[in-house]
Amino acid sequence: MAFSRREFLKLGSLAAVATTATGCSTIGRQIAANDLPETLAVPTAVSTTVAAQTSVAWRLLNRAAYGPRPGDLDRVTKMGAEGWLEEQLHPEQIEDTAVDLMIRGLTLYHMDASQLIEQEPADGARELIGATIVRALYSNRQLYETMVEFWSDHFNIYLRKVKTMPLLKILDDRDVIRPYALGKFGDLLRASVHSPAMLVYLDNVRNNKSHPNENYARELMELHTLGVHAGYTQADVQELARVLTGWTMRHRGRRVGEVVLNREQHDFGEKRFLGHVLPAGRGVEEIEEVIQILLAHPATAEFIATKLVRRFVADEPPASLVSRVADTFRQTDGDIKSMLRVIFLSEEFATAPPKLKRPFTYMISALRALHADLRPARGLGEWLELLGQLPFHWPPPNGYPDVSPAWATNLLPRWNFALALLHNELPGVNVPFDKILTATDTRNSVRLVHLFAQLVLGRPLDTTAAQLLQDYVGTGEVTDSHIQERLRDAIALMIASPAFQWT
Amino acid sequence: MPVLKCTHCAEYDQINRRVFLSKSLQSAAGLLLGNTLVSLPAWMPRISLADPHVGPRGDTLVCIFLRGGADGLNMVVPHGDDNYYARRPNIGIPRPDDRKATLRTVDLDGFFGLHPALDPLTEIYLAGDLALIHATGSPDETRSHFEAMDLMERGATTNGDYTGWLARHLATLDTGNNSALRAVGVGSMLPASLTGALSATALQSIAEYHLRGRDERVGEMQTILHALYNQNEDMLTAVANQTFAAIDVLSKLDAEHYQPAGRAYPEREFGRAMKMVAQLIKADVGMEVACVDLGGWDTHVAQGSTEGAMARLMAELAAGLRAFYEDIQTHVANVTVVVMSEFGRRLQENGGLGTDHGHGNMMMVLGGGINGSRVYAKWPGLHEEQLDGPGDLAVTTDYRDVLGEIIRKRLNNPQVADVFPGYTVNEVGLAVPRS
Repeated sequence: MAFSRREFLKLGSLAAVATTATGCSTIGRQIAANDLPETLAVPTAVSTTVAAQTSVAWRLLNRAAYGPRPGDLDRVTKMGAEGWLEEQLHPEQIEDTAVDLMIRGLTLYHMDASQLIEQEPADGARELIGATIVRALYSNRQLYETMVEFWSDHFNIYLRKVKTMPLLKILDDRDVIRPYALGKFGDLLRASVHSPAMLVYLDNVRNNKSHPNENYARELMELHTLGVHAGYTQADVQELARVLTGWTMRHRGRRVGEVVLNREQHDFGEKRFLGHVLPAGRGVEEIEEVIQILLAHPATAEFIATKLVRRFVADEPPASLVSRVADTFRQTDGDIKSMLRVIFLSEEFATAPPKLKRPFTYMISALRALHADLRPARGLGEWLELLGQLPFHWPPPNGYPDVSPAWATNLLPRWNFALALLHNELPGVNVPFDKILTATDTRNSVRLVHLFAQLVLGRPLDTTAAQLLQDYVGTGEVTDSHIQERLRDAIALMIASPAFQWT
Repeated sequence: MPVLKCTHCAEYDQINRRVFLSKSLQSAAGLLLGNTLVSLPAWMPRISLADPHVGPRGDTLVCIFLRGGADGLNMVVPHGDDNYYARRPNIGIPRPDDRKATLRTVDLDGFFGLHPALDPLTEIYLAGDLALIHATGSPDETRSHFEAMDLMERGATTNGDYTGWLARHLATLDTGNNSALRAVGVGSMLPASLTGALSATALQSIAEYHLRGRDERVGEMQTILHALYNQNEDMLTAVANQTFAAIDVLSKLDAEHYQPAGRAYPEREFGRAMKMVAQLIKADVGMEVACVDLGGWDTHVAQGSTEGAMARLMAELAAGLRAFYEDIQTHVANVTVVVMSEFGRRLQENGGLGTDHGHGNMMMVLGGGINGSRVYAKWPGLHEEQLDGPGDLAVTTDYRDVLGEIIRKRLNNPQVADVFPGYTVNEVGLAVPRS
């Protein structure tokens, strides 16, 4: 087989990166794997109330993070909600060596657009989804990761839209979502308008002056800024589509992937958009002006506030809180951190009704609760598909649902995931059972039921559940393999139980 | 289990398998069981309906939703309307008598015809078991996928009722059928049309619908899970109980060795879904309603003409329907299939050789109790002043006129007014009343 010089160089550099990559990732994983408290206390009491009130610390760890790892609940309780929140709002100051090393080990993720576009899309998807799982699982910057997920839904992009989409979405993840996930909404929106992945996903690369394509224009208003009930008309959609004519990406050459205005395809005529007259003869400035119009529109503040409150507080967002968050949006020029402070320190959050974990959070929180170790080059993708939430695989542009009823109909895969996890039947995933046992002072099966309940549920079992699970496991030493199998089942049942589905 | 599955398909790939999120789900889901409130928790809306009609069950209804706004003008082609060809110079489907084209519209009645990729349906049409409806749709004018689907699946034009039309149908018809599989949504989520249904199961695979684990312990574990989910009544209690009941029924079926009666189903998600629905129908598990989604119809770009992305999708739809039709031949007198989409697409093709969101569309109704071999259409015309809004096919037959007739004549439910509140159904005449 003959290789061109270029292909040869590509192979060579890939091999070189791969060597260092393995090193980085391995060290990173070892650091993460060792990050388990030296001792884990076994709770002694059983709760007498059936549904113990969950603490704000617990709720923060389950909604503003991907669930507590062993020791996290104590730490956050000690720090207080405000202390933890301030720490999490400054991710750049949070030590995250393990994940930094694992991410450094990626290859495609660090390439510039022109290099990236030459790669195998399937590798891109693997890296992107793998990195998303690794970060959610191991990163100490948990709030940041949940916000990356939030904005990845808000500015949804579907990896199977076109063949090269995984590669373009890597750029979107790296250069659009992550830099601004805790920044100003306007900067995030502007970056998204400049995202080649978005322009391809919503067909703006095919929007030209002779036959405008409305797809991106419509969703830019309906889903990214104003919301569908803001009072705009079909005529506004068509005028915005005209503004965006010719706004495309370079498809070839040294600067491939760069977003540019193709002046030959741009409609330079006058437009009327949301009551504004946009004078004729302008190109990129006109696009910047409509971004400003959309950002300044009162409906945008309301829409973003509503979505944030729905995700983090309640399916039916309390109007009082939405209004305060929308005010904050207007007063702070759309500062995401300021809005999150209002949300997470609110009375509405402290007294929020239960919300069902989305499948991705369900999976990651189960892995975190048991300090599971994930080997690279393996995946949980098939399970995420069964559960219903493989990242970046929601086809329509509105992002994965964020209300409980949408996810309430598919329990069986959740139950089976828990059983597969506890019996080490997930590829590349290991629950360090022995290591957890080493950190305790007991081998007694009944006491261990209570230890794991504390790890998984963050509180003692209620009397009924305690009785059921103790009876199932039986009394004895966990060194007895029969008992240990049953203990693993019992832990899976805790993860499968309603208490672990709700936050 | 294989590592991360990342398959990549054609240039414009499927928007597949997933339910678009509907507004119904943005709000709380309620459970409907006639007018009986099943000790509903506070978060559930109370809905009062008239007493359910008590009577025998009718057909099994299979509801296929084409997600994304299917371009009905290129599926059931109005080849007799010259404006169609004037506005679609590149993507129009050639006239049935166009000698220059290798692939042409399959004529049905001298005015309408089928896209050649839908040709497997022609024989069903000629056999009298397929009716087509054109210039149909909902009054929704937003041209937003999410609004249009939401209103269509709720079957309502006003906000405030967050239950789906199929859920209301099930709630207003008491057939004495307590099957856990009375309503099935294929996939990991139930469609919005089933929002609020007390007995609806989201089903991905019959063979895998069981609890993992060693046989001798599975029963014990199931008992514990059942107790844990019934300790406090919440949104998950009914779902969990439904799941256990469905496990019992489905464990008796052998999906791996199921042999379809007719031709093979296409080896993709839609084909697998239709095959599963057929097996459930033939196994007589008490299924009255099944919902299947086929996505990928949002063809803003490069939708193709007789060939191309949309033609491939149509071929998949037609192959799945044809295999299903052959498979359920012994039951065809008791099955009705409806194919619908949230809106049609703009008449004028766009610069990307696709079409933007439109309004009026086609629907298909298939089954043994259908007055087939006909295209039902009060054709509004495609001349400029006959078009709706930005240049779309107008709606002259409300989609509820089609569904309402099926509900009354084929599903044995006379309470159509409760299924579509605030709307008076004007039947089309496409269904034969069950005897």
